Amino acid sequence: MSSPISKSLKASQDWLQEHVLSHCQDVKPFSFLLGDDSDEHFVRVWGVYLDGSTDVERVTQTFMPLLQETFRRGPYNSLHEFRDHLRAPDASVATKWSRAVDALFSGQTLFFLDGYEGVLTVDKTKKPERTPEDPPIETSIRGPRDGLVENIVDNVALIRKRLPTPDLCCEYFSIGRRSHTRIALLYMRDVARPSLIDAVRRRLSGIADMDELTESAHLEELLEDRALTLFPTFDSTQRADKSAAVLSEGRVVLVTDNLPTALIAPATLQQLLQSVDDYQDRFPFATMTRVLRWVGLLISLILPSIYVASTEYHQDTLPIFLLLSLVSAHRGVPFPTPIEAFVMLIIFELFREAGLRLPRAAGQTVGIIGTVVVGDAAVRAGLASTGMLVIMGITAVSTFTIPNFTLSNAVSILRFLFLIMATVFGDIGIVLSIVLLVAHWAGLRSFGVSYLSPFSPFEWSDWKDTFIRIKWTRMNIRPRSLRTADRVRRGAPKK
Amino acid sequence: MTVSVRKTWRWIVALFPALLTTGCWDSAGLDNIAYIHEVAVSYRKGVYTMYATILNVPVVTETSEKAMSEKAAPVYVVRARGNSWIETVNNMFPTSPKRLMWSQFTTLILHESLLKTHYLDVIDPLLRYREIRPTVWVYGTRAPLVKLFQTKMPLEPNPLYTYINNPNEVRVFGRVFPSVRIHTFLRELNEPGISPLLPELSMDTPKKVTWYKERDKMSFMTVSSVGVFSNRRFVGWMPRNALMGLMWARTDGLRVPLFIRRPLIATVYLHYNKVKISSVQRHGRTFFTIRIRGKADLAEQSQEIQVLQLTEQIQTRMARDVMRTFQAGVALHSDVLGLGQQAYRRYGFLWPLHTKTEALRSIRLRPDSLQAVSVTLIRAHSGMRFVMPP
Repeated sequence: MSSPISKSLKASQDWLQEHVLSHCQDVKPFSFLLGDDSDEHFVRVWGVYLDGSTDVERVTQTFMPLLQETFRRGPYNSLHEFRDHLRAPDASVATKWSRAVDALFSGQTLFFLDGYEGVLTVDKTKKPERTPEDPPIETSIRGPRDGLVENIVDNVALIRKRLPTPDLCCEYFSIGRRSHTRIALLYMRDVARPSLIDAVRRRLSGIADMDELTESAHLEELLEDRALTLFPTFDSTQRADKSAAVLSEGRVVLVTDNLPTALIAPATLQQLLQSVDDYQDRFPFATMTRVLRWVGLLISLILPSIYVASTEYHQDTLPIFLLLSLVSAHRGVPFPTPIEAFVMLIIFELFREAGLRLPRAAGQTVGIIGTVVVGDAAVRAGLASTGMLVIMGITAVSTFTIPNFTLSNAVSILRFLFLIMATVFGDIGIVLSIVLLVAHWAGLRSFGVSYLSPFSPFEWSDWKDTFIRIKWTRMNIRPRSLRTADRVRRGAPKK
Repeated sequence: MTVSVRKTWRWIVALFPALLTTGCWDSAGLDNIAYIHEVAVSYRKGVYTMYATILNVPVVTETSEKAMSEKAAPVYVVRARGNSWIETVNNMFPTSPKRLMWSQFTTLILHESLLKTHYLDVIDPLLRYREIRPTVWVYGTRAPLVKLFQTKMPLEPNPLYTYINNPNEVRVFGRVFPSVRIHTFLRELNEPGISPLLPELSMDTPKKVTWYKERDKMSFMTVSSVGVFSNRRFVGWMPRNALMGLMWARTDGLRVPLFIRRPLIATVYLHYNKVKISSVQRHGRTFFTIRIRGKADLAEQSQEIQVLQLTEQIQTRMARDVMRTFQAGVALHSDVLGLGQQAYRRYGFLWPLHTKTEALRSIRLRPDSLQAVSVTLIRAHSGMRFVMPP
């Protein structure tokens, strides 16, 4: 592969025939003559392109006339000299087969000129892709509609469009021996903490000898601080405006080729509970929704276990009328409350999974069957109590308020653990679980930033953008916990 | 040991103490429990008699909801006897088909016969039992306990809604002596210089009011008086005519109506009195003055009278009420207005000179200990006039 490309057209044809053309039928060869037939000074050209990834029309209509015209102005001693006279910025010369093959499979067109060493590559790619549209999982009411797409260049351009400044740095990394996945590391040079950029850069370069990298979750695993945790230490987004916003906040964004999802680091727990809409509404409403999301997180974690602990162990914690209605609802149900809770939780997860795997229209049907038919029938048949159904319903709805999908999945697993603890130990089990959970959170780091910041370590000035959000005009300082190079967002720097 | 094994051990060690916790192992399904709700105790000739109400949970399912009528007994009443209190309770337990639980126990009624003898022997074990919280409402009574538990209350067949279980809601319209929770009662019982007051539940029907259900007259419970204690000993019931002074000077006076009958007819509402007790020590004795300030709403008034004149009449009336209450308390050798407590706290600096007992003796009340009661009212609302014929 690393052998040089020879002068002889025949040798090049043979090499390509043996190494590529014989088994990749989507690579199409073509040939033509440069110069007139009558003219004795002409060169035979042979080229290849990747069918479907190359814009053939542009190659034939704009590049080939240019080639012809440049050739007429010749003669040239080498292909490099030829290229220098060619008025096409996307043309370059490859002298090694390895580079030529990489270029071919990234969609460039190769032109072999008989008698010249090396090959002329022209980047006229046109890969199948979609236009930017509203991301389906991160919808916003007032925000822009151009979400990230599967093309890294487009994605960087979408972000760059919002931050047209040389301070927005873009560094490309290529990972994967076979996949050659390009990853763009974006950061604001004068804002982001230098040690953060160094750490990300070091970890990216340190990814040793991967075969392929196709998922952002894989990249997340390769880069994260702690190997074993349920919780995401990267935030992810499919929105260009959110990417730009976190960049100017002092975080870094990693865009992976062929994926519409960008990774954001460092991420904290409170950041995972924020949504884009929080910044697009009046601040009291944003505060209310954020508080609701925290409540949702708490409810989805502990409500089933609280219910089991109260009904099994701590009947005195229930007000008398609630107790009476729960007793009368549970009367005749053959299972003890903990078993009932486990079964209902498993059924809930089943319905959720079924709804996700099915096409969207069928997913709704599953939802209706789950809620109306099975729930109602279970109560009528005396298999489940109405109290338990209400608890499960509230838990399910609360789970959906968590904006980050990975976080809500982590909560789904923890809910089972909490339920086991509550079944065995009652309220003490719940308290113990919460203590262990908070301890685990406190031990998590995302690129040196504590997962619980700004609550722990305590950073009062960062609280303005946590479960409360103050007026945007008052958020003059960037989050302290990020230890940004430029702390001031608005106004004169404080001394 | 590798890091992961060590970590696993750390988790096991962290979780192990949880296994040592007690009290959480007796898991019981919600519907396999019977809940004790009210308990009344009397004592006669060495025998304790206990009446307990046990909640009867109505079967509410979608189909039977409408079928449930008022006839369904909301509670079961259990009577148990024994030679000691603990024995009495334990006599009840084996007869229950379900496990009995005290976690919803809300009302304790102590009969006069018990109050005069071993009432602390009943309260103490109850509060030591882990399922019972010290937020139980506590009442005294003179009525036979059987009668109390057989009464069909007006408005609600469900006793949970009646005011002995939700007393503060009923008090909103005033003239009901505030109910006490057992922690308040015991706190005042153990405090020198104040007499705890125990509201009395009675079956007496006021002459001017009758409740009907269809054609039958219904009986109902009222808080008619209060029991008075002195040095942890029950000394008797407060006379009815001396109760109003307690309203003015001891309670917070949440909208208490005051009816004036002579020389003119008027009704005034008193709100949130501020009571200030001051004391002086003279010749080894302590003398008190009470100052009451508050707002009054004039609700009705039958003939034209100067506001100042009416206010003065009300003030005199209130001062007389307070003085009468004080005298009734002194007659029972108790400090119903909590005067002594003020001096007891105020003259703490004198304690090194006297001993505590001497200090307490100096504040012991005699009929002349309360020297003056002054009442100042501000008229907040002028109300209706001439609604009644002159």
